[in-house]
Amino acid sequence: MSGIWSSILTASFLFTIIRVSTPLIFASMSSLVARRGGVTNITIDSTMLMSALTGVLVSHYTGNLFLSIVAGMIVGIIMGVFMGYFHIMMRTNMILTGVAINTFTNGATVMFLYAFTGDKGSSSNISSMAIPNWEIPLIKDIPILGDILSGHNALTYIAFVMVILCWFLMYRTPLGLRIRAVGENDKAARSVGESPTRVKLTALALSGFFASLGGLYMSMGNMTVFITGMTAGRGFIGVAADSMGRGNPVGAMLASLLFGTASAVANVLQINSFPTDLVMAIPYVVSILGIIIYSAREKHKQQRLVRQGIAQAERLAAGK
Amino acid sequence: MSNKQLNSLFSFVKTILAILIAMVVAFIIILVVSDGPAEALYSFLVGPLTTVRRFGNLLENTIPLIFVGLGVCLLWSTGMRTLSGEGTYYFGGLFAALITIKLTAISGYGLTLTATLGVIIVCGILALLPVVVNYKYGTDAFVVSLLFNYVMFYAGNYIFTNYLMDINSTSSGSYLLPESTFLPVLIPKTNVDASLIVALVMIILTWFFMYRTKWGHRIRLIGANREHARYIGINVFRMILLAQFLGGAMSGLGGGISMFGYNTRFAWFSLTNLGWDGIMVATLARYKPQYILLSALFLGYVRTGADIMNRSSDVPSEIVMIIQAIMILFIGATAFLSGTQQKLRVRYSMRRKAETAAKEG
Repeated sequence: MSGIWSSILTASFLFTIIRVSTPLIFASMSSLVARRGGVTNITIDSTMLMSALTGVLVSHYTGNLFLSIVAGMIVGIIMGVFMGYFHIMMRTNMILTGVAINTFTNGATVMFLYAFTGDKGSSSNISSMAIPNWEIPLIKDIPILGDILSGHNALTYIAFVMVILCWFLMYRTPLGLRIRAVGENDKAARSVGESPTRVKLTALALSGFFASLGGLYMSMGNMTVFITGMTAGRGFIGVAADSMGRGNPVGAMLASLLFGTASAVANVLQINSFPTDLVMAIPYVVSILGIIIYSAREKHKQQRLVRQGIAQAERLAAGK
Repeated sequence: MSNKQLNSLFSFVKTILAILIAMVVAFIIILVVSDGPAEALYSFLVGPLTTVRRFGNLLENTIPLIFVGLGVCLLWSTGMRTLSGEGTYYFGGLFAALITIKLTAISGYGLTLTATLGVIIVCGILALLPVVVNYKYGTDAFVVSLLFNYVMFYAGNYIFTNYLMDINSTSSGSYLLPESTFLPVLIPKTNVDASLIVALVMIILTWFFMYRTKWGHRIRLIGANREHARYIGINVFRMILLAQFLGGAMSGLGGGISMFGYNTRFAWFSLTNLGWDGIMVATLARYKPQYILLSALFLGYVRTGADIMNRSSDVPSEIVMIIQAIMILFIGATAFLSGTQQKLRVRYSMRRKAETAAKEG
């Protein structure tokens, strides 16, 4: 046991937590925007995968990092709008749309990868550019804190900036208000002249944008290669983190960090020949419990409000 | 033509159109990608029927799709959209392997039957969790079932690596499954065994349950309008539990039955993705058990064809995923053709009105 503790209580372990949490933060923001707009986006994983592949391919063929990031983002936004088109305009069931798009992506990424690199497993035949790591001036010189916070990939810092931006977007801009209004009650929003279709499409486009950053981090930040199925369900963890964070960007970020911690701990325990499967299940169990506890509290709160309302009504009636 | 007839006609036309669109896209991709498109197309379209072995492959691909498709029909019948089929299919296979390998006291078909019963009970119960917490705490059953699938997988993988893994074998997998439990092979030189018959029986049983029993009627009523069902005094929660139990048991049975001869060792190192396939099969069948055979056969055919094409030409088999995606998108699209449908509906009712007016006049 002491071996486990000595490997957990280190600066590099905390560094790892931030590193593995980065794609989860992007995924949870992606889920958050869509869910606040009333759509559970289960295509985040696929969107990440598509953007990851696009980034690698474009960077190889153009040699331009900026262009490949933009291409990845555009593909992400297209994926979001694509989901929106079928779910909202063509009124396909949300889950069916998700299943179809996920299936499509699993096939399409392999087909594209095969067409461009002649390999179905990974893009190791072609070279990909990397998004640079950043040393933070001043902070990097602080003894322990510097080891934890400095030297991450640029996208890691952008992830945390995105959390703030996402919060600002949802609570301080007209668009955020529209998204929340449509998500709460689209008929009410329609009655005051909003177009739920347009707002939901925008929300899904934003969702695709956030997911694309997570995908780019996977294939050009964390690694510099695209591997088939490399997102490995992170998009779904993003959905879970968002449910756990109650639709609040900061909450979703904290939940993502929790998931990141769980998988980092699992990695450490794996080295220490612990039953890894059980450890790998921890994030999912934690997330299910988190969702249950949150929902139970919400339900309890609602019931209390209802009881209070009834009591108040009775008092009023008795008063008369 | 009545409205009901018109609706089912349109369902049919939409399904056929969706398949056609998907196939046209597939042909275009094959034409673009392949250097020898003619051979590729031939092996894709006719391949599964050319040899007995390939026809066997087609049936082997179809059998699990029937089980998971029926599973989704049941799981979704009450309007609860859960993904429990994925986890239970995996766990069904694992649990069947566990029982047949570890339970040495009995052998032969007694053991097969015991394992089957065990799988049905365990997988049925496992499928209940997402709806139980949904009912008690109002959680999103879909998200919980999605996450619970991973829990089932890791728990199963723990059992697999710690209790079933055969370290001495060169092929990585569990210990050999006992041959005495294997189902008889129906078509010689293939792996098509009696599980095909079980699958067909299950289709009939599911149809009978949904359309000829009072529970089935209640479940379908809940699926159509839950509040109405509650209002007329149906115990909605109990019926949802029943549907989920049966759906989980059906998927689990699909996984379990593949361990009675089709697989000689348990060797699943990840979730099988068949739960998601089940959603496709069920959607293609419009959630009606009586159409599951047709839709599973169709998907099985397309997949077998794609596999053969993959081996005999330069077109990757992943093309089949694109075909499936397009089909599902268009079949599921409520708005697809709805304008035409509405126009026809109006025209027919106008004509009927005119006819009755003429009769009376």
